[in-house]
Parts: sequence; C-alpha cells; structure tokens
Amino acid sequence: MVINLTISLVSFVLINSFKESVNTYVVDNSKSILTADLSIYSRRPFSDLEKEVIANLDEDKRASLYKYFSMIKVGERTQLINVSVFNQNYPLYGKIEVADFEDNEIPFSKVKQEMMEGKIALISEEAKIAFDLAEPTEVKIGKQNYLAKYIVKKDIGGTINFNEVSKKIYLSDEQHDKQVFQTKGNLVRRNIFIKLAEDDDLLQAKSDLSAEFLALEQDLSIPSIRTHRESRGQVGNVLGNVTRYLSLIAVVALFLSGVGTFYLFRSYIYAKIREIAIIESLGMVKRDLYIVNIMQLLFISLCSVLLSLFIGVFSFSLLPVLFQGLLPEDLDVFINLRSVALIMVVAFVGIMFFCLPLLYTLKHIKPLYLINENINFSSLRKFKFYLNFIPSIIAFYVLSVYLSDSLYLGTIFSLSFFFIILLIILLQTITLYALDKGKNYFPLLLNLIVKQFSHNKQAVSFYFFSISLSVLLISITPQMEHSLKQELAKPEEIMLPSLFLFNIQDFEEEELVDAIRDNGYELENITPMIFAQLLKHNGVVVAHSEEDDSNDAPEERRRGDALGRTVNLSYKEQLSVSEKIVAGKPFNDNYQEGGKIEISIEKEYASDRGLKLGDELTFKLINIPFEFTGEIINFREVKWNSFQPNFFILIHPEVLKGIPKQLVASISGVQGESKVALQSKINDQFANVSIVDVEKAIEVIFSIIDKMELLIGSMVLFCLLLGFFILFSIINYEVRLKEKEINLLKVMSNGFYKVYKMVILQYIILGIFSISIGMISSVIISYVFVKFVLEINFYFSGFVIFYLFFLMNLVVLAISYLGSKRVLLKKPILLLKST
Amino acid sequence: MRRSEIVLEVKELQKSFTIPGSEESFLILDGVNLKVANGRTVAILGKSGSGKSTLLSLIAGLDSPSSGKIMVRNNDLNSFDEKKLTHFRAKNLSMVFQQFQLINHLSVIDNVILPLYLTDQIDNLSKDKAVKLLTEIDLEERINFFPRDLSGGEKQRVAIARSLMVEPEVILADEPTGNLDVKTGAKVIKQFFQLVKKKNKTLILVTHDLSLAKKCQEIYEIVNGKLVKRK
Repeated sequence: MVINLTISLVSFVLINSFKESVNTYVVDNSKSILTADLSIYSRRPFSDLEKEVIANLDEDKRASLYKYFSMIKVGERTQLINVSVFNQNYPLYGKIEVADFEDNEIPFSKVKQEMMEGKIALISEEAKIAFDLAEPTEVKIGKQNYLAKYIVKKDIGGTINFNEVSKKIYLSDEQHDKQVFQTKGNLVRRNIFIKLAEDDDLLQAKSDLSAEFLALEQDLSIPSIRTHRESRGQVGNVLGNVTRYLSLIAVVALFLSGVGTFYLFRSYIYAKIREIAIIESLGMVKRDLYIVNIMQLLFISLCSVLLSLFIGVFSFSLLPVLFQGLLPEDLDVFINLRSVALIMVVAFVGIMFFCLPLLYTLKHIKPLYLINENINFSSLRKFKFYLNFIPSIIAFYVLSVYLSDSLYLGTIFSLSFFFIILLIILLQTITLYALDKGKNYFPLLLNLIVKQFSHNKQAVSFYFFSISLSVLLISITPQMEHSLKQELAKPEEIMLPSLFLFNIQDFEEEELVDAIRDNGYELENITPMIFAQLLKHNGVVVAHSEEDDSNDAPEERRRGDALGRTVNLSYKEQLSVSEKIVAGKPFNDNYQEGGKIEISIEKEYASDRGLKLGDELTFKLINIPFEFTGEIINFREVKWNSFQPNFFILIHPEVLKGIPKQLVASISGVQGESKVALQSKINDQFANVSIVDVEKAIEVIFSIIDKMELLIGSMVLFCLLLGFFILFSIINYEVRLKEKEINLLKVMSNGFYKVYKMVILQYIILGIFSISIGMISSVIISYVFVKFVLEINFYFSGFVIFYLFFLMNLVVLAISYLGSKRVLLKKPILLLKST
Repeated sequence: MRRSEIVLEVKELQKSFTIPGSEESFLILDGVNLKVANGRTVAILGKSGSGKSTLLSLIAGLDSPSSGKIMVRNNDLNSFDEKKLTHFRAKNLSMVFQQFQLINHLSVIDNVILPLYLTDQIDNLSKDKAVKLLTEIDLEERINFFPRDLSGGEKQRVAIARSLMVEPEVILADEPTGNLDVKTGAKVIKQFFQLVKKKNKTLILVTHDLSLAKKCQEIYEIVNGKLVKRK
C-alpha cells in the first residue's frame, strides 16, 4: 500500500513543488517581471487626454514599451519577428542581460545608450539562431536598417520560449520609425510602466490612476492598470496553465492509487478477518478496532508521504528536462511547508475517504466467525454501503477545482472523468456478461477460466478498472495529437495557403496585387479589417477595459473578458470555403442605407459571450467618428486551421465599404526558395506588410504540441505505473489466495505446465479485454473531445492503437508471470506443508 | 463464590436460521434449558449440525438467540448492548477453539497476555502470571516462540493458558481436541482439566467425542434441538 500510494504522491510532489516554486518565483520577482510597480496597458493608441494624464506622471519614473509583429529582413531572408520598442527609462526594475557576439557580457545601460544614439538593435538568442548570425549584422525592420549588435541573454519579463514566438528584436524609441505606430493601428501593444516612491501605497496609486482615466469621460475603453502583484507575466501564465493540466493528471493518478489502496486494504482486511475476530472475542470493542485500523491507514499514508517527498526531491532534476525551454534559468524548484502540508492532507484524506467503505466492513466481522467461519457481507452490496463512496467523490472534485485553480475547469474535468469511469464500468460489465453467457460454447480450459471470472467478480473488476483506466490515459494523448496534427497539416477540403499577409494598408492594395501577380502568384482572400469597440449589448453598456493577461484559468478568462474589448470587424461579399452559416440566415442582398444593419458572429465567440440571434450590438469605430447598432442574424462555424483570413464578427458588406481599413490576405502555391524570394520582394516594396509562413507556423504549433505531449505523457506514466502496480498486487494476492486450489490442480494434473497455462492464461485474457476496453474508451473519448471540443475531424490512428495494444499486452504478460511465479513455481509438497 | 452457586443459566433458549434463498426458517435449538453450578465441568454432545456449536456461541454472547435467556452470574446477556457485552464477555467468558485461533505475529507470551491488555487489566505482574500459567502447562520453553513454530498440541495449550489469564467465570471450549491426534489430544485435555480444577473454573465443553465428554461431571446431548441430560 505504501508503494502504491507513494507512486501517485511523487507525481503530486513534483507538480505541486513546481507550481509553488513558480508562484514563489513570480511573487519574488513580480516587480522585475512587470519591470515596474504599475503598468498602463492599451491595444489602441492613447488619446490626447490620456497622453496628458500620462505626461503628468514623473518622467524619471516612467518608462514605455511598445510591442508589435513585423517583418525582419536579414540578407535575402525575411521572417516575422516580435518587435519591442523601449524608451530610455526601461526597465524600471529588473535587468536585461546582454552580450556581444563574442559572448562578452555588456552592461545594459551602455547598450541602451548606444541604441538611443544610433541604429543599434538587440536580438534574442532564438532570432540569432533563426538567422544564423555569427557577427553584428545589418537587419531591416520596415523601412529602417539597424545593426543587430547585441544578444539578449536574459529578459526576466519574457522568459517563456515557445520557439518562433520568442524571436525578438529590441529597438530604442529614439531610433524607431514613429510612423509604424500610426499604420499598425491596434496591433500594437502599448505599455507605460510606472515606478512609485517607496512610501507610496500601491493599491491607492492604482485606484487614483484609474479614477483619473475614468474622469476623462471618453467614449473609449479604459486602459488596463495593473500592479506588479497582479501581473504574473508570461512565466506565471504559461507555466500556470501547463501545471493546471498536469495537476489534473496527478489527481487521476491519486484516484488510481486510491483504487489500488482500496483493493490492497480490502485484501488486508479480508486476510485479517480471523485475527480481528480473535481480538474481538478477547475483548476489543468496535470503536477501538476502527481506531486501530485508522491509525494503520494514517501510518501508511505518513510513510508514503515521507517516501514520496524523498523520491520527489531526487526527481527535481527531471523537471528541467521535461520543461525544457519553458523554465527561467534561475528558477529553483523546492518543497515548501505548504506543499508538504497539502501532500499530507491529500494522502491522509485520500486514503481515509477511499478506505471508508472498508471500515464499514469491519462492522460485519464478529467473533462468531471463529466458530462457523461465515461472515455475512451481503449488506455490502446495499445502497447504504455505496453511500460511503460519496466523500471520496466530493474530495476528488474539490481537489480538481483546487489544483486547476478553476471552478469551471475542475467541474468539467470531474464530470468527464466520472463519465469515463462509467463508460469503463459499462464496457466491462458487457464484456463479462457476454463471456459468462458464451462460456458453454468455449473449450473446457476457457470455460473454466470464465467460471473463475464469474466466481471472483470483485478482483476481476479491480483488474479491469486499473488496466483500462491507465491504458486509456496512455493512449488518449497520442490519438488526440494524431488528429490535431493531421488536421493542422491537411484540413479537409481546404487548400492551405503558403503565406498569410496582414498589416496591409488599403491604399496599397492594388499595387500589392499587381506586384504579386508580376511574380506569378495571386493575392487571394483579401479581407478588410476595421478596429472598433463594442459599446452596448442589447442597449446595455458593456464594461470597457483593455485587459491584457489575467491570472485566471484560460477558460474562465475567455468567459470573463467576453465583452468590452477592442474588436476587429470585417465584411465579405461571399463567405470563404473555410466558413459556413450554422444558425440564422445569410445577409440580405438588398441592403438599404438606414435599414437594419446585419451582423454575423462566429458561433464559439457568440457562445462564450452569451450572444444570441436577434441580439443588438452597438459598435464604435476606433479613430473614425462612426457608431452603429446592428442585429445578429446568423452564427458561423469557421475552420481556423485553414489559415485563411477569417473574423469573429462580420458586418453586412454595404455598411463599412469606403471606411479606412487594413487588409489581410493570403497567397497559395508558393514553395521552397520561391517563397523566401517572394517574401523578400514583398518586404522590399511593402515594408509595413507582415507575412506569416504558414508551413513554419504549423511547425511551431507541432513543436508546442510535442512539448505538451512530452509533459502530459510523463505525468501519465505515473498513472500507468500505478495501473501495473495494482495489477501486480491483484495477481500476487489472488494467486496466493488460490494456493490450495493451484496445489490441488498440480497434484491432479499430469504436468505443471497445464496449471501454469491455466493461471497465466486467465490474466492474459483479462489483460486483452481490459486493454481493449481502455483502447475503445480512449478512441471514444478522443473522438468526442476532438470532434466536439476541438471541433476538428477525428483521424483514427491504427498504428498508435496497434503499437500500444501490443506493448501493453506484453507488459501485462510479464506482470502476470512475475506476480504469480512465486506460487506457481512452488512444489505441491511445500504448499501442503504451508497449509 | 460458593461451589453450589449457579454461574450459568439458560432458559427456554430458541435459535432459528433462515435458509438462504428462501423465506423458510429452521429451528436448530428449541427450548434449551441448562443450569451450571460454579466449578462444574459440563459436556454437550451432539451430532454434526445438531446445534451444539450454535449453543456454545449463544452462551458466549457471540450470537443472539431468537428467544429465551442466557444468564451469567445473574446477568442477562441479551440486556447488554454490543460494547457492554464485549466487556462482560472478555472478563467472564473465555473460549478455547477447535482451530486454536492464536495471533500468528504475536509470540506465545504475547498471545497469552493479550486478553489482559484488551481488558485494561495489564500490570507489572501480568508477564509473571503468564509465565506461571505457561509453566503449569509445560510451555516454559516456548514462551518466545511464534505460533508457526509450535505443534498443534502446543498451540492448543497456549490457547488454554490464554483462556485462563483473565480468570473468567466460565470457560467455553469448542471441540478442543478436534484438530489433534488422539495421543496429543489426551495430553492436552488432561492438563486442561487439571488447570480448570485447580483454579476452580466452570467448563462447558462441546464435543462429539463421548470419551472426552465422559471426563466431565455432567453430560448433556442435543437431540432434535432440545438439551437432554445423559445419565
């Protein structure tokens, strides 16, 4: 029981310590992560009135950092890069470590001064690698040339690296082309950082600043103001989300270990029935019996906690391997008292709740057993007995919510998990029923084996459950990954574009179309993009806040920040092949000015925001004095993986025609070197246009999927290990229980081989069926998840299934042999002596 | 306590069982009456399935009767709740089982001391008392042995020593030689009876072995659910 519980607790120790360490790191470094005490954030340009408010802040204690995506050209190669433009005072806290190409560390203040005075750029390590730079090199951003002279070694605010996204270039605002911010509209993320005096009250300062912006009474969303304590930065957010999901797998491991503990404790109690009856006959009362058993369970959990802490500490060195590229270099993973306390509570409460129904069985063990060796356990099949499982179900739910930091995610996870359990139990019941009904048609050996199953239902159920659940977990991720990759690489009926273009100004549309045509390609799917703000929903003013990152779980954030942000509107004469109307009616062909304005919304966007057909939405365009109210007349389903220009909100095409806008578009059929050359040409002629290489973007997503799969797979291994351990325990115990029977068979048979075959074969049959049930369940769950949650096509991976099925059966065979060999290899004479 | 004082009285005892899978009940004990005076040895004979072990388990308070009374030193066992009954049984009624029922992971001495511990009667003299009892039953060489290292006869002698530790009013023995060969059984019974007599204990012994029953002062037989005294 100690080993069983320890395996699951080790996964808990690892995940929880990691989570706590990240939290501590974020709290300890919160000022450095935000680089300030307070930040003012906006995606739209600051208005003149807002600029006045900002200008009133102490200039020496104010810094700015604007970020946007742009094309960078190095030699003949052009790629999308994340541009960060900072001013003289940046960063107010924390430090940026910089080195030259010889890897000599250079003080950032010196580099900054150089950047302010000349066109010098800083690049991230990833950008250096992507462009294969070995020495200071001339790079071109927009229409300006810069000398990429230094490399950023450490930037605490942006430690998380998901490859492509982290390709960064840093420029000084003194040398940066100011025009860019005008043309890029709200695709620029604007941060103003503020340093407070030591005796300033942080929350008061935030509230004063918010009040000042509110007092401006503009028809604009209010810039978001955030303290360093509220900002977890990328480190906190990305790792926070990753650990949320990993923690949930640890909960499954705990559940599985609970099932194992339940089985082992049940076996322990059944083995001790005689002893319990003896001490009861000698005077022990039930209360003392319960206390003794509870103390034993607590002792087991204490041993498991200590052992798991010990193993956990030694396993910390694994974390950098698993979280490669995600961890800040100076993050120390440690176990704090909070983690220890949580693990102890989880172990104690978990073991108590799972074994509670078994303590109930103690009530039925009476000294009378010593005379007639008969115990009436019939009440254990009654409803009241099953009520004892309720605390463990509640504990599972509470733990899921606590560890996922989200009521929504925890609830969805718990419900899905209990659905999976019911599915496994259902399939298991059907299988055993079918075997039982068909046993008379089987050869004698199989018939005898099936009779064993019927006779030993509880052990068979535990065997089935532990194997099916762990096989399900191990096979579910590769299957989902397979569908995800297939869909991303080759969406059904849709030709992926080669390049995706954005930041196109409408005045350059014709010229761009011609330029691309001159190169032998067509600019396709040209779609306008207009920045607006949602003012009202059904006449009710919506909250106006330019929230950036949030500490909530992503699912809750999506629901919480639903309305009130700056939005991108678009219009199309015809829907593209990657979208279709799923509810409502198409736009009216005969739109008349002054008539009802029709709006089309992407269905998930609508669902997250509680929008319904017939709802009225009021928008105000940004930078253009135009406000309108329209009615939602349809919902669309969009295949986002088509990489074609698609928008959440489409307005009837007649409404916004003629309004200044940006454009997005795509180009298809460009391959290899031609793609590089075309990107370069577009960049030369249209410096403001940003281009995404779709193939590379998919590669990035694949690498993220692979990284997540490695992380999840590592956690799932704990579950698998537990499943096999429970399997071993069951076989070991059941075989020992049948020692006499096996001995008898050996004496009666003309060779031990038949007995081995019979015993091993029953576990192999159980293994094949339980593995199959795990596989079938995982295909069902993957299908449901892929089809209805990810909303992509399900691609069945026969290879994954076959490979895992084969592998799992081999392991089960090995465990069956190992678990039973001690009894099987005993000579009958020894067995006779032992009885 | 005076020798003639009644220690155990069974009045109109009935016990019926419901046959599994049907609603029919089966009366195994039908109006059993019995009076046992202090210090007497009583044998209860009967064929297999006659109800003798059922009667013993009812007298021991391990099972409850369908009707009737069992009085031990004028205490009605039916009037106790489970906790009180456990306490009362532990101090007044000891059992010796056919299967010995020793705790395998406890040594001989610990098995013998265990009842004192469980009834909160343990003190500094307990160990000496246990050693003395084990010596009286010729097990002084085996006090630190574990049950697995003992022969059947030795195990039963440990069980006898254990039953005497709490100095009960009544010792109930269920086929005490049932698992022993004739020679060993005879030796064990001899020592058992000697100790019972020496300590002036009342013994109720259930057996199907007439020769063993004849060692008791009174012999009863269960016939058709009724207890009949044999002359």
